[in-house]
Amino acid sequence: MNSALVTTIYWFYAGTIVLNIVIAAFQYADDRLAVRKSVLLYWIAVLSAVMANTLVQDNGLRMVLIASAASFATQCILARVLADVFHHQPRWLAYIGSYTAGTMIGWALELSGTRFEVYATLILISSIAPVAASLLSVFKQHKRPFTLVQKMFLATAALMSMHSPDWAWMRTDVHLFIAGSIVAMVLVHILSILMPMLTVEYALDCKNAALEDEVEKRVAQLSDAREKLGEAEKFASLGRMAGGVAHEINTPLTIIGLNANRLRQEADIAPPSRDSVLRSLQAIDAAAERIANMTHALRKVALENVGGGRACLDLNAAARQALAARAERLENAHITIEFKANNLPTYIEGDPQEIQIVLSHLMDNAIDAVAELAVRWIRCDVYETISTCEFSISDSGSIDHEIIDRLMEPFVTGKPLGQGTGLGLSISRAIAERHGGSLVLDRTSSVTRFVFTLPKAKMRDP
Amino acid sequence: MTNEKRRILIVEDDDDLRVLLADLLKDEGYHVETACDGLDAQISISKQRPDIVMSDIRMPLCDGFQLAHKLLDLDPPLPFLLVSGFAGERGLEQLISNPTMIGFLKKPLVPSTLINVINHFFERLKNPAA
Repeated sequence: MNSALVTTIYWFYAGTIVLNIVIAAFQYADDRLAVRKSVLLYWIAVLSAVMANTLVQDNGLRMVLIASAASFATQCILARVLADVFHHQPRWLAYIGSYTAGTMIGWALELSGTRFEVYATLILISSIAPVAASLLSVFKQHKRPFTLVQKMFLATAALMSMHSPDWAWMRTDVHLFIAGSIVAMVLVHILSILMPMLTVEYALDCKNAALEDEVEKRVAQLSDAREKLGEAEKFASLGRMAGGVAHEINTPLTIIGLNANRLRQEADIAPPSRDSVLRSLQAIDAAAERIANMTHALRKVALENVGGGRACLDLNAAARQALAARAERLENAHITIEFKANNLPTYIEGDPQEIQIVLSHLMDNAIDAVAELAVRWIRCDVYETISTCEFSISDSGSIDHEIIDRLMEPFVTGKPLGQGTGLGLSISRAIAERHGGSLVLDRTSSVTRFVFTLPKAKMRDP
Repeated sequence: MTNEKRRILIVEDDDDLRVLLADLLKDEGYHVETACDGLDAQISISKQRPDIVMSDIRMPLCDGFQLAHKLLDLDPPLPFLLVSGFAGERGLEQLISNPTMIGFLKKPLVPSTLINVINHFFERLKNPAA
């Protein structure tokens, strides 16, 4: 009965292992991961070890050597699996060395007549060195926390290793032997469940890592592309500005030419009348002034890149000053002006002249916008946020929605011809950006509202 | 008698220039209508079709190229002359080989060139063989 039970147990044992070999073979064929190859080899080695154990029946050194050799090989492959999954470096030479040393000592002990159990245990212990060392190494070196599957796997592997040396003691007693075999079989079953889970987790990890790499690359590409787009936009806008300049100068030039031509044609026939001459000259004057305005504005755009001095500036005071300079104009045009700001200074760091240009321009724009309207008011506001100071100006005017998107571009103006070069806002915006701030039209506001934002000064030094 | 008035529509957003151009061409004996942008031009054309349209390119609301395409769509296409203050206008490549565009002039306009182009066009209209 006992030997029948033992045989049955062995067949179950072997059957499980064969199943594991089949599964491992399929998985390895599927994705060719190195760790799957190690798992496959492991199960093959386990099967070989089981076979080897059944072949040798006597209790002698030879059997111990065969059993321990099989165990050592198996353990080495398990160490390989651990190395693949947990990224640790097995020290093969050390393992081989310790096994060889153990074997030599065991052999010496056998020769000197020591008990079977003693030298057998010694040799077996030395054969489990690979996994024991690997487990320790994994625990010490692993940086990320273990998953549940990994923890269970490591525990099972540890138990199997510890179970191996007691075999020498159990082999002598058939009851213990059966009990020990059942324990081994249970452990093998657990391991056979955990192995595929472990390798699947590992495969997923690899895929994730590859994906993360890909994402990083794409992000880098995107920001590259965005930079290039920004450059292209800058060039495009420069091109548009050049086109605008050419057009704005060519039209007055044409007017001058046509007037000159007309006068000459008249003079060809008879001396031109005084009226005619004056009219033409006036037109020529006006055209020349338009060109002069254009070049003046251009010069300002060119000079804007020459930085003036930077100083600690009270935005609140600057705004008040700009308003005060226009007090008479506001009164004469009957424009209601409201300035909402406390009396505390709000310090920004900037070029006082340039900041004044922006403030002046915004205010002048607002005044121009409302001067002819029925409802005329302008509201100014200076306030601080955590990192910035903002000046906002609203007025009762409205901006044509057709140009609203392009308002800050050079040469776009809502003003009638001759009244605005269309460069003021784009210059102001450039100044704002060069100070690390911004000038935007508040699209969420129901009235026309511009917001001029500047970073706060780091040091308060009036 | 082929002395019927030859009609030109001038499309130009700059008021001063528009008036000057109109005077210039009226002195040459043409019947001149004016429009201040592309939309205005289309309204004028629908009221009375001119023989030729002379248009600036850079105009608000409906620029010269858009107008040109509208003129090409008419049946028969309406000949036009484009004037530009800025060379290298994009959109030109599509039109440049189209015979409906009889010319492309650059500002500053030289009056004699403009008059020659228009006269030449009307000459060919009278004598297609020429």
